[in-house]
Amino acid sequence: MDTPASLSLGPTSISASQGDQIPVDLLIYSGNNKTISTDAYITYDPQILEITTQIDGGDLFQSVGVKQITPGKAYVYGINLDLAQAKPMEGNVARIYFQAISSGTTKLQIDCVPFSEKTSQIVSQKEELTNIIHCDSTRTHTSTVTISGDNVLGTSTENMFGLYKWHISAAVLVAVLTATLYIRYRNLTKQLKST
Amino acid sequence: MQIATSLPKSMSKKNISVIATAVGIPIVLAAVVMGFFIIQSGTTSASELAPSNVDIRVREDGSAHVTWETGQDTLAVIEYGESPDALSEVAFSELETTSHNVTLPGLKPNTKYYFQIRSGDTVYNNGGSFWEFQSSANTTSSSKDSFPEVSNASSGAELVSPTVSQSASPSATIAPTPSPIASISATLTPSASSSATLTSASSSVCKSSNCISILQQLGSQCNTQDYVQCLLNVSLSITQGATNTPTPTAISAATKNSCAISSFQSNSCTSWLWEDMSAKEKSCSDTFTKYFVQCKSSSFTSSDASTWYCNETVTSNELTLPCGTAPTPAPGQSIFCRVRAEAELGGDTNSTDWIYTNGSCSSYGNLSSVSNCQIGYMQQNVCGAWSWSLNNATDPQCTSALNHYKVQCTSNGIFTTPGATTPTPYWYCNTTSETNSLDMPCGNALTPADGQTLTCRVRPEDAYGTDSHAGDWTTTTATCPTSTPTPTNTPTPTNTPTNTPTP
Repeated sequence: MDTPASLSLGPTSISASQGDQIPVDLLIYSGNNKTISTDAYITYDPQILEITTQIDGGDLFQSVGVKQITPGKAYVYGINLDLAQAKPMEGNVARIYFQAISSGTTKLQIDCVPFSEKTSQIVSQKEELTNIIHCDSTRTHTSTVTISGDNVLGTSTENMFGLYKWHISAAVLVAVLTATLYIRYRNLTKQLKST
Repeated sequence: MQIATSLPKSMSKKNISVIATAVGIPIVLAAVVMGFFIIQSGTTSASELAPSNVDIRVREDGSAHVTWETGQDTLAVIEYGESPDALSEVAFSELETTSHNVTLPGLKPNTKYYFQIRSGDTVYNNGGSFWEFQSSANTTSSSKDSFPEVSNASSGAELVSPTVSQSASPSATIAPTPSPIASISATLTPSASSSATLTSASSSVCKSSNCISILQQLGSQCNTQDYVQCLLNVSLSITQGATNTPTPTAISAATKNSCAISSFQSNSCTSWLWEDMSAKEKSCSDTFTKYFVQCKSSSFTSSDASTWYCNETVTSNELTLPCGTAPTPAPGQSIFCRVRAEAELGGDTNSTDWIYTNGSCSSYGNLSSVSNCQIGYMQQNVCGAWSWSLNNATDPQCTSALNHYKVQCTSNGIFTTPGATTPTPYWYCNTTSETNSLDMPCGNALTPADGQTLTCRVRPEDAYGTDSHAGDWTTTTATCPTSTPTPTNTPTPTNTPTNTPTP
């Protein structure tokens, strides 16, 4: 089966410190489809990252741009102003830059919802300007950004433990305390009975 | 003494046990409650997206009607087909809702169909067995509401990996549906990547011909599809439900050819003129009522990035740049324009072919200090035949900026409004020339007679043709030979000039 047309982000994991400017590449793969433009909505935690207006265009599109739509949602576009420039694309649409404003971990994800008006697209050259993006693939192409206060902590892993580690840690602590108290209670009870 | 010492000891142990019980029970309860919320938080999102009360009703008009509910508002999609391995068709509800209502149109008669439901980011396939139904044997009858119930699947759909089904993108065919909820069905192209064309119900600005406004609204209201469509004036062949409009009769190729604009010229880089439809057959002006004109900084076949100066529909056969809020072409800028005549509906199918031309806004004023770009000499070769040359006519910066020469000739060398005591000049020439020569007569002016003294001046100009966009004047006075004197042809000072200089 052919690889579906999709957008992705690179690198897939980033570690940085608070205050750093973080470059992120928006990548495109359109298979054999000649592509005339693309829209990408990228979501992130606005408490941790801010999008900047800086953008470096790649070699694929004549015109690129970036803007913040809402806090936590950035929009990037790439357009070829001439149909003759439409071609199968694989590579860098543009490099955008985030500002790390506080410590924590956030996932950069390309918002792609079928049939939604404001959704990521890959527009082919066909006369109907067909959207050929494969949302399932695109949504899996995330990038995890970990911001440390002073030192770089490393990349977090996106799994159940990562999501609920504080809950699990608290539960384990409570369970250990409960077990300790219960054992102590039993010992005291035995001692009372023996006396 | 023994009693006295044992009592406090006994009380102390009892107190400890009471305290331990009082503290331990709340902690255990807290742990249980916390564990419940942990489990709950991990499952709430998925469970609220899971479809429940899935109901399938087959209609005799060759469609099926599927309803289901979700715990939260979602866009929901049905992917269906004749095999669980080939769910190549898509139908979906356009609204984010908890009560979903989707029609699957165009079913083959008496055929078993399978489907799965995509809710949010997740695909539900009824625990891997897929929902299924048999289409009606009779698909030609009217859409009478007979709803033989096929199945009524209950909740409990199994969560499966969302990476197995194909893209849920809408395709170009949007079928009307009797459902009060706007439903859109689509047939995916058979290629591996499920292609689709999306008609977004975006605001009118996104569908206007003002591409600059669309560019400014990218991301918030419009998308690049709108922008490219505006640039290319591509009309999407999409129809939708109640707003479906009948397709107009296409204009014949013969009409398009006979009515095609045959001339398009640049008077200056900001002034453009093309053949008027009213100058052609009446059928042309009846059919094509407007012009669509585009101008930008690079060729329409070029890969260079472009600045757009115009992209709009006009009713007259002339254009002044820039259009609307587009930037003014800078000096030195090349402008590439194209225009076509359009019928009222516009679009490729209702237009003549494009006609292309280009102009230049090169500025000769910037070259005032470049000696190569000034006139080196001007001379009369024979009576009434003049020529001139730049100091270095091969200097590329001169030739790229040069658009034409301005040439003026009078009988007494006066080129401005004469004073009261100054003899009124006779204007032999006041014209422009794209070459470096001039042959008189100019327009309606007289040909200089033998023995007539003329004073001519010439300067190079760019497309703007104003004083700030021109080189210096070079003036030469010469007298026509007197080999064949014809004094009667000598113009008198009282002759009215046919060409008066522009101040």
